[in-house]
Amino acid sequence: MTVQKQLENISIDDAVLVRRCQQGDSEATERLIVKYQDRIYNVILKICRNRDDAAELTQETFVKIIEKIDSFRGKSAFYTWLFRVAVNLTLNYCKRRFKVSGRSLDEPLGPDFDGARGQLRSFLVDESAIDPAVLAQKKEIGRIVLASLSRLDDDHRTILVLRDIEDMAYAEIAEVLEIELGTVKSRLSRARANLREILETVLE
Amino acid sequence: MRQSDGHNIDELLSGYIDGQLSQRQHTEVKRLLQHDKEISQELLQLRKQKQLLNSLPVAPAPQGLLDGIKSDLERSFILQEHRPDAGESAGVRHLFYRRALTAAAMLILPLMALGWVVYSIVMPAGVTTEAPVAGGAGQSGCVSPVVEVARLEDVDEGPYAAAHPLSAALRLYTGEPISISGFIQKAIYNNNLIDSTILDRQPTETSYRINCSADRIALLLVNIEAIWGRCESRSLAVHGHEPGSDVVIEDISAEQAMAIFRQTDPAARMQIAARLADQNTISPDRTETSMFASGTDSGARPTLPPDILMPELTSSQPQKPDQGRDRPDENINLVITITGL
Repeated sequence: MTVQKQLENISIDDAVLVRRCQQGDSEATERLIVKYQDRIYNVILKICRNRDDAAELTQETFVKIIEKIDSFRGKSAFYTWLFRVAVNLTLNYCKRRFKVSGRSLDEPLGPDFDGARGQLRSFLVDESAIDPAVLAQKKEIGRIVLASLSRLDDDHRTILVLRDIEDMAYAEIAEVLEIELGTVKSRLSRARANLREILETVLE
Repeated sequence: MRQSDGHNIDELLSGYIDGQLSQRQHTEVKRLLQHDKEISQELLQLRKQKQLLNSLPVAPAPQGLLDGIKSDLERSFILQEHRPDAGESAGVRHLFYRRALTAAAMLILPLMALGWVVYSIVMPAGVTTEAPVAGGAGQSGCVSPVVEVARLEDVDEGPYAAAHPLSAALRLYTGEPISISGFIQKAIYNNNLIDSTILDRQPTETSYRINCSADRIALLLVNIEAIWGRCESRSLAVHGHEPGSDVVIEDISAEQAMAIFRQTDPAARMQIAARLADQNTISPDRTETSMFASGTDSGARPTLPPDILMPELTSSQPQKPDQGRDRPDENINLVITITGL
């Protein structure tokens, strides 16, 4: 997608696009999809940890949203509605998958990851360590972090994805997950503490 | 659970790195950090952990996602999956009509019986109450032919046509298969042909198998005529009754297709198809000499001579009586296939 196209997508307000979409404007529908497809795909991928399933769930999310667009009354932001549908579909998928397989889909991290483990360990305890953006781009580091994330239970993984990866505000998370603000705070703190423990175990 | 001044320490640290604490809680965390090295280290790890998650690479959505969504929506549109209440309301309407018809029948039947009794009492002398019979004695001459035609239709032409329904395949080759397919779907929907259409979507092509009357097919073709110019090529295969008698008309125009579908006589229909096939293949410039010209991308569409839709038969088959161009009881099987280039 060109920069111009990205700018166009950002500059048009969601409410305008939704209204046009409700009037049957297929171009507005396409723009809504293009605007959010990467974010929705990434949120789903980080929760469900499978590219094919993430692609399918992303598609299902947008189909559901567009089919129900007439019923959208704007009580919440379109963006939170979209994420709510995506997260609900993904969590239902995770429950079904767990029932079928009964175990995590992540493969164990072998000795090839020892170097990356060392780098990550020093990053987490050393205040003057390298830029996290540089570190996270390394493939092995990314694998370790995502594998640790996948060891959390679904609720904790989801809230970390929404807050720490998607930068959502607490109030938006409360809307997306349909929980109280206090629950957001307590669940988020437990999720972070659990991830810290998992990382410590993985990096030992 | 670790507590400090009545607060959960994990929640305080989590809120601290997000900037979500009140002034009092903020001060409390500051105090803890100054006096507890372990908590200070924990905060550093949580902050780094958050930075790391925030810096994870973003994977682009898979290519073709948009097309996949469109395809799903089209399928859903065709199958009316998103209207589970449609069947329910149709059922309610159906029940209402049945009740209304029953009530009407209960009123009309006694009235007819009463009317017959009254008529038999007051009718002029010399007139019998028997129903008129075609060709029977005592009938006026103008009634007979009408009844004869009706009888011919009922006895001969109905079964004849039913045994020879038109089956044809229209192939459209285009560089924009999705929009063409969408256009056709809308036309199918607008013409209330959803229940008569079966959708078959393959990776390289989409097919609509439509089974309905000739009238409705002709109407559908009128509605989709606009896409003709957006197709690189178009062909119509008309399937004959004998093996190997199929006729394929290349570069067919919408008008030519309509002419074939409107023809009710199977033999005449195959004859038109064969002549169009020859004409479209042999003569690249058909505007002057053709029976009727095929469409062009420029959009110029010559009109059909009014008599061309019902040509004279030259075959040895017995000619059936003219029943008009539109005959609702003859169903046509038409498969429209859109192939992407």
